Amino acid sequence: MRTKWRLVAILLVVAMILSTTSMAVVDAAPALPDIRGHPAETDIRYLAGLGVLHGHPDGTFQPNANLRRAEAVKIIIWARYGGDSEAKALVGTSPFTDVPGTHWASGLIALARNAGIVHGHGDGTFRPDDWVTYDQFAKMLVEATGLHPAPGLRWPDNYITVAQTAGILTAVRVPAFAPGRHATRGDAAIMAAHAVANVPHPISGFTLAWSAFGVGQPVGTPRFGGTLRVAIMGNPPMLDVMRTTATVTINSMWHAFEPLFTLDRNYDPIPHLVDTFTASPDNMVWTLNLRRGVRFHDGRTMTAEDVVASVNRFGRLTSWGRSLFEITTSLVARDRYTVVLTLREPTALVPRFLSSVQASIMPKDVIDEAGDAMLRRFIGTGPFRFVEFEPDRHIRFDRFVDYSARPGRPNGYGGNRTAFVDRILFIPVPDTAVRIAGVQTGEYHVGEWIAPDEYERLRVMPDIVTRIIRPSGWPTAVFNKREGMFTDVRMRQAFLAALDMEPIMKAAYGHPAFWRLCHGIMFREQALFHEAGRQWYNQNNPARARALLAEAGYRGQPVRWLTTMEYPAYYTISLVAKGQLERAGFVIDLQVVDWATLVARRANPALWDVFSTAFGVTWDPVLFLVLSPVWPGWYDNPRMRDLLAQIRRETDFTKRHELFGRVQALFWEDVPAIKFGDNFLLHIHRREVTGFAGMLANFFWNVWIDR
Amino acid sequence: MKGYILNRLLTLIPTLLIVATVGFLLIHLAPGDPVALMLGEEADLRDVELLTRQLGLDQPILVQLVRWYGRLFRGDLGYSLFLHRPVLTAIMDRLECTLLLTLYALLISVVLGVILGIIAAVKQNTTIDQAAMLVSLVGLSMPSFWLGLMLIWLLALGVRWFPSSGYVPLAEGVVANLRSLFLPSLTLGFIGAAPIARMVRSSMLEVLNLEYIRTARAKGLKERSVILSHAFRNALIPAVTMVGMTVGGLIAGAIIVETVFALPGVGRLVISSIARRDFPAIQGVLIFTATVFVVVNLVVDILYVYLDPRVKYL
Repeated sequence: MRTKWRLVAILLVVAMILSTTSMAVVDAAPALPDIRGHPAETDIRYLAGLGVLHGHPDGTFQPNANLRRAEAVKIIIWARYGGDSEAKALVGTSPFTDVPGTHWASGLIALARNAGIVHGHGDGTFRPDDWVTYDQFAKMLVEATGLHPAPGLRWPDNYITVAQTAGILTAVRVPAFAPGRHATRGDAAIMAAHAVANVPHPISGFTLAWSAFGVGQPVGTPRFGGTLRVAIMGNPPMLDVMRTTATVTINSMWHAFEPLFTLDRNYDPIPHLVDTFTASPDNMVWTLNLRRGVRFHDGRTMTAEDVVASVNRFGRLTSWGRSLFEITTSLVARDRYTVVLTLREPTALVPRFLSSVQASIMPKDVIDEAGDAMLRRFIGTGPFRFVEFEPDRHIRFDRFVDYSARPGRPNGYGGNRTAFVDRILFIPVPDTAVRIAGVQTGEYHVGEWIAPDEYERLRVMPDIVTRIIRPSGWPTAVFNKREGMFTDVRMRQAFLAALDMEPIMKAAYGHPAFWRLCHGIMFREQALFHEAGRQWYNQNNPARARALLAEAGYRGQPVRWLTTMEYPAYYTISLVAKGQLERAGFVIDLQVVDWATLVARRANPALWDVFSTAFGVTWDPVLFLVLSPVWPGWYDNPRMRDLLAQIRRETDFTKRHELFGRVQALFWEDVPAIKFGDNFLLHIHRREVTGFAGMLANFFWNVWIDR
Repeated sequence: MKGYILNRLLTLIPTLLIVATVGFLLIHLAPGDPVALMLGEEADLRDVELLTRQLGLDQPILVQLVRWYGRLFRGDLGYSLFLHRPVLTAIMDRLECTLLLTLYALLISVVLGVILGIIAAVKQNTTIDQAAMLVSLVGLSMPSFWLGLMLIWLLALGVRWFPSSGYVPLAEGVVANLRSLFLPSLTLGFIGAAPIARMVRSSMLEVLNLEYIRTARAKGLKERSVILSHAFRNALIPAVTMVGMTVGGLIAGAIIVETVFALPGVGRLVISSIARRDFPAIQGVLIFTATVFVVVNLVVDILYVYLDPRVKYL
């Protein structure tokens, strides 16, 4: 068995090396005649091949000339993001007082500033046309590769030390490196090439070459074996992924269950168990060609029948599934490996719907045996197979030795998945302090959901890596739009007008690394993010609130606000907001109950006016629960329904973005719920665990334990 | 004696019936819905309705009560909503952990409590006495979760002698089992020791002033033998009652300690079942714990007979 795995590992490495050579895009690189024989020639050609360096319009590179700060930022952004599409979106903003929106590099410098790669001179200026020095360029590279400055040292030593350790500066073979000296373009290329090709990201272990360009290989050799111990908050409430939406269940069970599609590193759907697919030009008929020879954990091969049975159950039992099946005419197996989905209304969202873990594929007889009741057997196609759930002790997954991996490279949640560890144990440890202690002592490799207060203490510990999951969710207060005072939109608008979000978010989440103010109901990091409705967020305008209350004829009836201490942030938010609302003339009756009571009461419209909860990342506007008439709060606005139907049909990105802007504007005008801000999560893991992709949800395929 | 035991065991039946009924009604009349918790935050109200119906939770409460009685008389505690197994199995799976934890904690409580109590009584009104009573006062007032976290900080993170959390079953090695339970037992045992120490001290003081002790001293017995074989034996009876009550306290304390140390025991089952409204599990544990309480009390009462020949049950 062991030799077999060694063989697999060797083959894997060989495959990686082979693919590296084939993927270098040397042909497209400019000629650059003036670098021939220069010490930096190899590095300049490497970066030019990746598209990071472009040379001057006259075809020269001038390796011995100096580099302007704005030009340095351009190199950094291309190296970090593999292109400048993110920067283009910011063209026209003025990130520093001396970088007007009209400056040729305004977008690049703004992105670098947002990403924490540059900070300017402290007086609000950036001096984009000054020559860049060695230490300034080293700092930009350190930040771009995800490293942190050394604590306890002052500028520039804090960055120089780290750059030297990482080899960024030592790669420059200039004898007398001195801080403050202007860097030559050749040396900058040497430093940047080294940073791109050889410096692993401290969390993912991936180089920029790998993560931004898909070339090279992650630093470090993956190692097979060991048991990965993951300390989680609590037990999964149910194991049937098609019935529960609980994060604990999804984040553990998705090691065993795989859907037809999954998400790539940009969170866009890509085929997973599906090999290729086609949609008819009108997006009404979807033909899914399945991968052949995919094995279930019981040894059988996945066929179209299993897919039809599984997706049908998904369509009956989940809210995502029902959204898809509302517009589905038929789902049939055309042959052993082809499934055809016919719709009665066009949508481009089929891959998005089918990328839900709730749409995982299981054998037909397992599905039939369960029907609409609970699953009795847990058989999937994943790289790990489910072994047992011992409540309060562990959920155990073992490597599935016959796993049918998708060929190619890992890409986000998708692409190639390899089970490096023999076994994963998810261990429920309710107390956050005990989860931390366990990771420190090495009893656990990973600790999830760590209290943000511990962040400063943990980030300096040598054995521990801290990971901020950004974004993670948005805390909210949902109005009862079926009964009571908040059926009147002016009441909801008054509520919104009275709120000052900063003190609320600060009290709830503390450390500034774990929250930010933002009006977007899709996060800033998501492609559909929109500015619409911004003016209604964070008004802090008690006078307007009072006026609206008077207009609505409010006479001090107590607002019944259901909240809970089980999630301390929810309670803190309601408490701080209560003060602000009462200053504006509301009378707030905070009903502090346990979570089980809250979810029971909120199903009955007679019992409440507002309740606290939080939403995670929503992948498409049509999936927003808070805009759904069948979720507590009962939002049923014909205009919103119409907009969502249009967005479901629309396939063009620009048009969808524009439509979503209207959805968001309506959200803020009609206020079905309050968005307080964005919050982020903290996970920690031991340094010897590596291979993390740095995605929003944790997964442990492609992750290995170094010893 | 046999008749007495039989009698006591028979009273178990009405006791349990009352516990079962009151417990059932309390749990079901309190607000809270397990179904929404099972389905997670992103489920909609149609899912909640379907699962409620499937689980029979939409039935009137009296119908549910009658069904629960029916199963109970057949010795069936029902099927847990969250644990994917029958409640009885869930309890049995966790019994070893909780039993060993309470056993070790009880040992620590008794040894520590008795030693502290005797020393304090013998050295009455000295600094030693005050120190011993200070320790027991601290034990009485300290919250167990805090003591647990402090012990983790000192002995698991500081010197790394013991694991910070988790449970190793007895079958996987006695030493490993003892190591995994040491910190939780110490936490629980230290807190249980306090009332025992106070009780032992006061009953020892009472006994030490009695005439037969003066006689024992007068006849030239060694102080050691006066205290251990004459005084202590008679001071033991109130202490045994205290120990019996401590067992009850330890089971209650186990709820917190098991949660802090992430032990898969009955205590943690109680707390998580209540938080999630796992009705069958709460009811099952309630019946089970009530039975244990009654039986432990019976054992303590029988122990009196052996400790004090004057006590007789008819």
